[in-house]
Amino acid sequence: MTANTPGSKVRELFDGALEIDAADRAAWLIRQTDDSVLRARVQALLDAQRTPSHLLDQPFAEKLSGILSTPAYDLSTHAKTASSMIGQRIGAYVITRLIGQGGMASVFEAQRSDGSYSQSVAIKLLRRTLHTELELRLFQREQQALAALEHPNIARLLDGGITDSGAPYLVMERVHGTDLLRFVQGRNLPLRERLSLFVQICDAVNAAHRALIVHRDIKPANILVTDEGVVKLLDFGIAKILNEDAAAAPTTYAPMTPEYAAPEQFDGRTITTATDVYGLGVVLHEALTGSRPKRGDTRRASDAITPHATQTPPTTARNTGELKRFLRGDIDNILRQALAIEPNQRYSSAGDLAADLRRFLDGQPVQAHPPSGWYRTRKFVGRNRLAVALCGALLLGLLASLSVALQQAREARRQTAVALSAEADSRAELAHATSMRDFLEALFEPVRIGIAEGKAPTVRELVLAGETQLRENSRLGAEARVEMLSFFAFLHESIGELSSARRLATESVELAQRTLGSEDPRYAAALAMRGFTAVRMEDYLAAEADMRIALPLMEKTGQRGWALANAMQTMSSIENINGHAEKSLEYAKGDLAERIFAFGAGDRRVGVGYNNIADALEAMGQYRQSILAYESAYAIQLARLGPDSTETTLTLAGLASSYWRAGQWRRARGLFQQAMDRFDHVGGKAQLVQIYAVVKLCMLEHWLAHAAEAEQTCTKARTLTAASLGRNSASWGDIESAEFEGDLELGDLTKAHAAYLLANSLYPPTVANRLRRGRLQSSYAEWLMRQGRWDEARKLLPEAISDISTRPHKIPLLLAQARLLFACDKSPGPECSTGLRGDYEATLAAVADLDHPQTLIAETLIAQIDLPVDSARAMERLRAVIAKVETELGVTHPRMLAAREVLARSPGQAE
Amino acid sequence: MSVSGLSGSAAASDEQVDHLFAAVYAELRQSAHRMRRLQRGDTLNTTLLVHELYLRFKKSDSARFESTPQFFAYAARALRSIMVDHARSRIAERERISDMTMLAILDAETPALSPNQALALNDALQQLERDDARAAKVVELHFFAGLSLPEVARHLELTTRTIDRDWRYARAFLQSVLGDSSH
Repeated sequence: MTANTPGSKVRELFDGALEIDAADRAAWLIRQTDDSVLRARVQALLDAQRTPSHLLDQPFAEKLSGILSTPAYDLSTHAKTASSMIGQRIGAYVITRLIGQGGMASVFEAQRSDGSYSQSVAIKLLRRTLHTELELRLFQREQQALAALEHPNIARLLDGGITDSGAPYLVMERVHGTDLLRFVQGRNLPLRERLSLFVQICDAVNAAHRALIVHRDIKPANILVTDEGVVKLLDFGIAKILNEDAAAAPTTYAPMTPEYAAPEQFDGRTITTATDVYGLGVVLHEALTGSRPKRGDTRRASDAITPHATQTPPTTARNTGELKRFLRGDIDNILRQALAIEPNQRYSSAGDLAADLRRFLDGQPVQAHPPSGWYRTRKFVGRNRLAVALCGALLLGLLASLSVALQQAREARRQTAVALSAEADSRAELAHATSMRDFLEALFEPVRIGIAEGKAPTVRELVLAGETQLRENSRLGAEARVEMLSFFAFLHESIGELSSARRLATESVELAQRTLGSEDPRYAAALAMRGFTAVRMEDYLAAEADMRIALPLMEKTGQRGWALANAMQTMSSIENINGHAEKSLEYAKGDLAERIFAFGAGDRRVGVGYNNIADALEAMGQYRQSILAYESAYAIQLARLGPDSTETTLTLAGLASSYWRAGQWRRARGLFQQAMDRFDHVGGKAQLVQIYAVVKLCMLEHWLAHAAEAEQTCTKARTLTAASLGRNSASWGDIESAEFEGDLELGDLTKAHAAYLLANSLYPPTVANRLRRGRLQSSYAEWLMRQGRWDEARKLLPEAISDISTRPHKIPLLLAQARLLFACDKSPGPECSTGLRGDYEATLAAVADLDHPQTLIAETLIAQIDLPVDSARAMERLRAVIAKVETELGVTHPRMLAAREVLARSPGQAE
Repeated sequence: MSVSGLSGSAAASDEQVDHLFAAVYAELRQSAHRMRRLQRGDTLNTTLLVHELYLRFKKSDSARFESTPQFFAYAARALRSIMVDHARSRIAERERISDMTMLAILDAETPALSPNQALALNDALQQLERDDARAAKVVELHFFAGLSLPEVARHLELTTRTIDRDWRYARAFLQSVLGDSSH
């Protein structure tokens, strides 16, 4: 390699370019050489340098295991399996011959040993053995779910089980056919027929989605077509069963087939039914054009076809021109929607994709277009059964991406407890304590679920009496006592006794530290419980301090189940408050996984886990998803627990909150009121979520300018807050904030000021309060501007914006930005940067699909800025916003009137 | 791990080979065991892999390696060959199976590196060797043999800065070749 070879010149330019600022690189390159081919090559390398790679960014050793576990390296068992299995029985079948060997399984042909089913089947025998009863249960559960999938276009999973030596096997229908691509290409199928075939495929996938199963590995090899042209889908969920441990090692996790995998499968994000839609999109593209779409290529499918395509001629089309014409327009759009990078923007289900393809084939207009979020959400909520199924699929998708390894049996839990102790008497004591706790848990179950007080009147007394018993019982050893104290803390929290909950938890922690030491798992659990009670009292700093010790210790001591679930839930709340929405979601997922571990997926206590995930999604600003999650959780809880249960009502409150944030105020209001009624009906001391719900409704009523209802609701909010959290709490501040904004809406500036001062004093500058402070200051800026105090407003808004920006909620940001622009328009100053308008427009675009009523506030200000410049455009823009929010606000809402007034005032235009 | 105890004498003896090998063996076993814990399958057989490595090692002419860096280079190259051989045999096996059902079922077990990806990587690496031999060497030592970039710099007796740039270029080169086939 000499200095003059082209290769080294590329290297030289590459290295040189990276020394330059990114923005100046292109220009620098042009100065270095006239050779455009050379420049293109360097540019390609620069782009590649920025692209993450799952292959290259991890050491090769990580890939070794996959390579090592293949027959070439497992000579000993290879020979054994092949010959020894023939003639053997597996379950109700007899093996007749070996068909193939893979890395992780062998596949045999077999027949029923009693001759009752004459057709042969395929048996896939996994190499690994299931070591524990728990893995066994999981496998069986999965296999049952898959076996329940009955559809003419899905290869049936007939049976499954575990051999005597512990190896899992699956019995499947034998399918004789060719894979999709070979089929369509081999027969040179016309394009329309390919589409019809594909619709069959979508229907099959959709059937699985209805059964709450996500395929996760859709590719042509998994889609067979028989000679008669019947589609058969293979391998639903099998990939998941085989790769339980792949999910357990997220750093090495790679999608099964990268070529067809959706973007979220690479990032380890949530797998949903939309993930399958993506896979279907890739397959459709390939079936029609012969090649897969390039990632990151934003061209339309029809444009991406070139005459020089090196793939085999894909169609009966005489030339690529005919193919282009077929694709142009509707198919382009359908493909684009199926292949959208964001799962939110694709078809939500295979059924929707099928429907659009059918429309195309029938000559009807297709619906593929940049999707409006509310279009889909409204559709879902209307059709209940479908909504529940799809929401269930979403949740199952969430579940699928969790690293749920084991399903818990009570015996296993006791075994773990037993394993912890060394001596016989401690063992007995633990067994005794655990069973006592089991007993108490069962006893207090109604409280936790919160059945209306009339049905379980002695619950409170039971809890208090139980505590007395605990103190008087001197036979309990330290370990049992620690556990019981913790558990009672938990129970006290359930009945709303927050400070005694904390007191008990502290006692538990101190006892544990004294008698068991700081490395003991029960100490960790006690700490976690104390953190939990701290969160419930909104003392996030103390909670975080406890959790930072407890969680690593729990992981180190291998604790699973209920204790870890609570710890995860607590961390999720803390991260939420800290503004780390993604982490909050991860913890929420962990919480759900542990609940399932501890109680089993069908247990009612798992319901709260779904709520936590929905909470986290809402905190991330993903309202559409959180609404779906809540809807689903709500449906399940309504069915399992009934409408009077606290759990159900908590979910209802969460759903209301998501609608509220998303701007569907009327609906939110109805749901809030429903939730409030239910809380009142159940009675007892108010839970935290209940208080939050009432406070939010108080805010909502003020924003809707419903003076009478606001007064009523806010009074109630004050009562509840004073009783639980106190008059100095941030929640009290929220109520005052709401009053402030309500007074502002009605124009009562003096009254507003008093409320503002009080609210401000209740928001100390902590991390948890940044959003609140920002919003309050933003509203205060409006208060100032109404009196013409532009400079003061302008000066405080930048900090408000930065406070608000700590969370992903865009609406408060929009308002603050609009207010700053307005202040700057009236009285320019150093805070008025040129990028401000651009930022505003970007925020506006981000919330465009919400139709949030508060956009009117912002846009009214903008209109006033723009009217002198381009009155026609400004008016049209404002009119559009008015039209969008009219239903939510009603025509007499002060903001609506203000907006119309702005229109009326504009030069030469009558409204 | 450190095998720096061995000097760079010419034509290392069998004893030195064994000694070095033992160290490499231990290292490979460790990583494989780490993977094994994650995978928990009974089929993981690290011994076979490492023995194979050793055998190839002994058979080859360059068993008379001159110094530690050469050993690592050799180990890396061997790992690379194993990857390629494995990929080729998997592809061959798949081609043998005409029964589509079986093929689909077997396909469901793609390891973290598919045979096609493995071959593509090998080809890309060959291209890189023709373009910038030293950068390719860095890839072998860093990516395949798992040495950290500072360790690579020590072995090749170059500055860390040079090696960092080599890796940066190599990675971009490979990614630009592979990127086309990533979909």
